[in-house]
Amino acid sequence: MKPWFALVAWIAALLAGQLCTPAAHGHELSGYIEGEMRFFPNAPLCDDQQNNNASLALQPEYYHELKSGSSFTFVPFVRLDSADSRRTHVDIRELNFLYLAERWELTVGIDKVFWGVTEFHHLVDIINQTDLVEALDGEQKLGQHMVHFSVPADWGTLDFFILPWFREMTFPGPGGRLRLETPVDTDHPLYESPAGQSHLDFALRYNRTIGNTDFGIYHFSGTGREPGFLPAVTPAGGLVLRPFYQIIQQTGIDLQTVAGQWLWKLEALHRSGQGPAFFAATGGFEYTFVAVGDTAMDVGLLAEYAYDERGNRAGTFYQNDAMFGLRLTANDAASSEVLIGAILDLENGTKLISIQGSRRIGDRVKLTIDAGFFIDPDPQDILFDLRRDDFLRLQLAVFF
Amino acid sequence: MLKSVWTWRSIFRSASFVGSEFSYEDIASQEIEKYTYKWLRDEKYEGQNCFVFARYPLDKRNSGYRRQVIWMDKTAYRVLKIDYYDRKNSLLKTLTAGDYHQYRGKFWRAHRMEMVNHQNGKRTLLIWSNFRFGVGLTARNFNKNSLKRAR
Repeated sequence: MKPWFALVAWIAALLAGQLCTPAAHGHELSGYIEGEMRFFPNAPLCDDQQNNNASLALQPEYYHELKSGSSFTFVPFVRLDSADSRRTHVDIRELNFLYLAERWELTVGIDKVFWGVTEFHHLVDIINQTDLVEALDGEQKLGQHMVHFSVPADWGTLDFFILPWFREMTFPGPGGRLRLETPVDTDHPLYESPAGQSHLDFALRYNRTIGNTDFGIYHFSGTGREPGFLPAVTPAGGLVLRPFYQIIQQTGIDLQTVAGQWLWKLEALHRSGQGPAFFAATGGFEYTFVAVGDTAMDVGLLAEYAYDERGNRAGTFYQNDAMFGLRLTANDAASSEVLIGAILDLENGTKLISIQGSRRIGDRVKLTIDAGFFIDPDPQDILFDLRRDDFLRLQLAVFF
Repeated sequence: MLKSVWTWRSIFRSASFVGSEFSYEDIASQEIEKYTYKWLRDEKYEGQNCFVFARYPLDKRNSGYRRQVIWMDKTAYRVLKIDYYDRKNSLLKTLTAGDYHQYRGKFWRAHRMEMVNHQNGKRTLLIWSNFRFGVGLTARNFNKNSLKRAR
């Protein structure tokens, strides 16, 4: 306990010193409020699932910068959902103090850290847990408690993380769509470690940019973010899946290189601790045509592949899949963008088509439309449970 | 606030800056070694004695231009006007820069830039303000960590 006590005391002294600095540099309050509608044209699989839902989300952000450049950030998030009691949720996305020294930086509190380069499958990203009720693509994350020590230098950036509190993945509730047929019992998770959520996790990452190439390598030791599932029977006699979180060791790399119109991307990892150790990788390219025809529009063609050694045992639908995409960037003042994507399972033929479009309306409003279609889902595929869940989603966010 | 860092790609040099008649290469840093030059003539422009010269981009692959013709005043070397010729060597755009202010007794900055596109008839006016020099930025402010939290 002694080194811990010393670390905590040292951080407390740093924070106290900073917060007592009288000359504040700036207060900023910003954020957004967003209205969302989701339409599911097909009748649901289960009786308790709703057809459509309306939802409201609010994410304010308070930022306070000290004269030294050190800063305090607070970003709460709340969503109210008409159909799914689990999608109605509150989270603290960020609540942290960043201390800037001459040659290093220290973040203490709740923060968000993203690693990775590929468009479709975010394989190596691990620090933050996925807020799955927000979106199926896994790009929305829960705030993570951390002590993050970072050394940016000429020879690259070294990051060290102590993660003292584990966040459970969110899952849609009985009333929600885009969920497994058997509900996930998020009230009764199981942990391999007797310490449960308070198991201490660690991560160390090095990344560097050399010429046209960005490269990163890390090791993570701690509670795996991706749960396994154990079937259980509730007191009322219903079947549920209990999430099971195991202690894993994971080493990952990510690589991106620019070569003219080509952008090459690769992510790979090796993980042990969840059954037999395994290897997984995803990668591909984006090829961009600039100012197509006589327009200002850029057109990007994307192709990626994802492999997971676990095959069908993988808790993801990316085990032997090819992904294709078409990105249209209008380069207009409204930042209009469209990304059409197709994910094709090369073993069982399950396909997921997605369309995402967004643009600004005026200075403060952003409109996002996205749609997903599940085509020929194979009974062996994890997407089989979503076979009736083709959807159209409209989001209108007002920034302040 | 984006909180993500993007890799700038040189293929976007000729792309339109947020839908305007300016492309990224028009507003990026104008470095001497990125071009070769040819003096054309001296003439008066808007009452000022100017050098008129052509410059040819070395990055022919990514530049949107075959050449640019520049009017630069002889007293303070300020760019007053640029004619941009597309890859087929026909006149594409004309930039006029004005409302010059001098900072720190040596740096001249145009506060008003107007770009007229002769081929589509559109124009963009770019107004600059609040220039600040010597604010203490160092290379460290441009590493990935700093860019990620830039506001």
